[in-house]
Amino acid sequence: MKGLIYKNYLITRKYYFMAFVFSFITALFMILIRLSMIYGNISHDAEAVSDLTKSMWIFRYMPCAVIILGFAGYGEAFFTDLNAGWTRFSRTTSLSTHQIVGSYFLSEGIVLVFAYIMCLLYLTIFCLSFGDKISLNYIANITSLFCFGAIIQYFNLTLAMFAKKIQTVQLISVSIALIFPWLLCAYIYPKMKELENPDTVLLEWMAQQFEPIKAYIFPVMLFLALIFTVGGYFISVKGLERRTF
Amino acid sequence: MAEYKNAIEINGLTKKYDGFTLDNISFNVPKGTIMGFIGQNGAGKTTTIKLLLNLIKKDSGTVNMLGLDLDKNESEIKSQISAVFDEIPFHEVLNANQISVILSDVFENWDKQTYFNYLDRFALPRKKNIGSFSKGMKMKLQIATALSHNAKLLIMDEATTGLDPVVRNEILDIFMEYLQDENNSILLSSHITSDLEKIADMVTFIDKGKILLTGGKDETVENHAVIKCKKDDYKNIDTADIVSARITDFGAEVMIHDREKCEKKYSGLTIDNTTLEEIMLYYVRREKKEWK
Repeated sequence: MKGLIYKNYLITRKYYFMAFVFSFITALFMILIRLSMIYGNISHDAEAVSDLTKSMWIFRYMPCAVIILGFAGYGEAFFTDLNAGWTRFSRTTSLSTHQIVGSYFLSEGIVLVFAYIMCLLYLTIFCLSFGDKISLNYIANITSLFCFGAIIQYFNLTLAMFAKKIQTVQLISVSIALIFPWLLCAYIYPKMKELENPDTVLLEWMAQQFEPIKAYIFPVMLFLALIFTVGGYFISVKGLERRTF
Repeated sequence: MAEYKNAIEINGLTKKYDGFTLDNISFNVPKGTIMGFIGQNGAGKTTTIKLLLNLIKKDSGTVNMLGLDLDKNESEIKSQISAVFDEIPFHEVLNANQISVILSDVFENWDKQTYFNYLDRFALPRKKNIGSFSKGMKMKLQIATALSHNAKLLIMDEATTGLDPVVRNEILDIFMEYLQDENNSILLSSHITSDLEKIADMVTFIDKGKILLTGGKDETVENHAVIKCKKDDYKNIDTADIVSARITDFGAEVMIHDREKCEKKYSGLTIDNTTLEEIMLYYVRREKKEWK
């Protein structure tokens, strides 16, 4: 399987390099804003500094979310193989569908772990640079994000085994992803009307809404990630076996 | 692996699609031979090959390859065969070196030295992306990979289509070398009959999902012939002897399938040698019987 993982790396490295660049820019942007809060233009606006300080979770987690979601795949390696004719070729060899599917799952898993390490690195740099202590809570939240990324990624990869084009997977995945913000907005909008300063207090209010449930987020995410990984793997094997060429 | 007489044995293979049926086809590829699998576009060659490789599921029939049942021993069979298609199955960003690394993991018997020897022989660069290769270079690379893991059977689907005569000749020479080992066999599907005239030992004709004939290439060509005669003489030829006839303003060109018998029966008529291409052309029009 090393050869297959090596192949997956070679054919997707351009895509992941772009994801890395975008993630790096986002992380840098956040650090620059934070620096500006202390030494720059924002530091002259006490109210802005106060509001942003209450929403430090954005500085900690938003770049990590961008990193994780940027690296979570849509089955790029699989569709690249399909379009190149490699999938058909691999079915003429003695490679089993378990090996073929396993290589995709492992490759994407390795990339996501790399993204997770990047998140931890960012968090460490951010916290140490601005005198913030790294708590287990932060790490649990990053790990929850990692699990969320795994859920998306393996859902997409499983879907890819049944789809003809990557655009189908992207469309379905984005459509499902858009449902949640829509539901969130539908929930938040009536609440926003009650707030005196919705623009500045909204983020703090949103963070407060998560307080009662945040202890459950990590175990639930971990459980769902395992379900999507293991379940997705076996469904993907069946999907690939059923594919005709 | 057990001893076997035929590299491929197909019995009653059937596959139905809307508008096309591969209808109960049967033929064998004897060990140590090159079988030319001939038919026009849409005849069922690729469907047959996909069924052999289990890329699509058959509706009925049996396939044995290298003495083993495909349904029961698919993995073992596939470790001993190589499939070559008309398009290279490797990504354009890869180079020949990287392909070797990948395939060493795919094929248990991958022979790196043999592979690089073929690359040198074909003058293929090792570090250049294959996206920059010409069509001929890509096919040579694909054949180099096919011949580098001690496969006993090559299954090739239109592998020489679109190549210039020089490259085609080079590839056909490689196939002849491959057959020096009597344990090796090739199934080569093509509509370029001139290639098969050069190297095939056996031929199988397929048309509209049915096998028209199968047998030795030389015997097939020798058994068939074209009678060139006037229209009046054509009327005297028994229809049972005729595959089909091309009628012109000046006379008729009649394809017969039993030359020896017809030479005695129609001794006054001119009987010419024929080629695989002509045989294919006349058989494809057999339902019409007469055509222009």
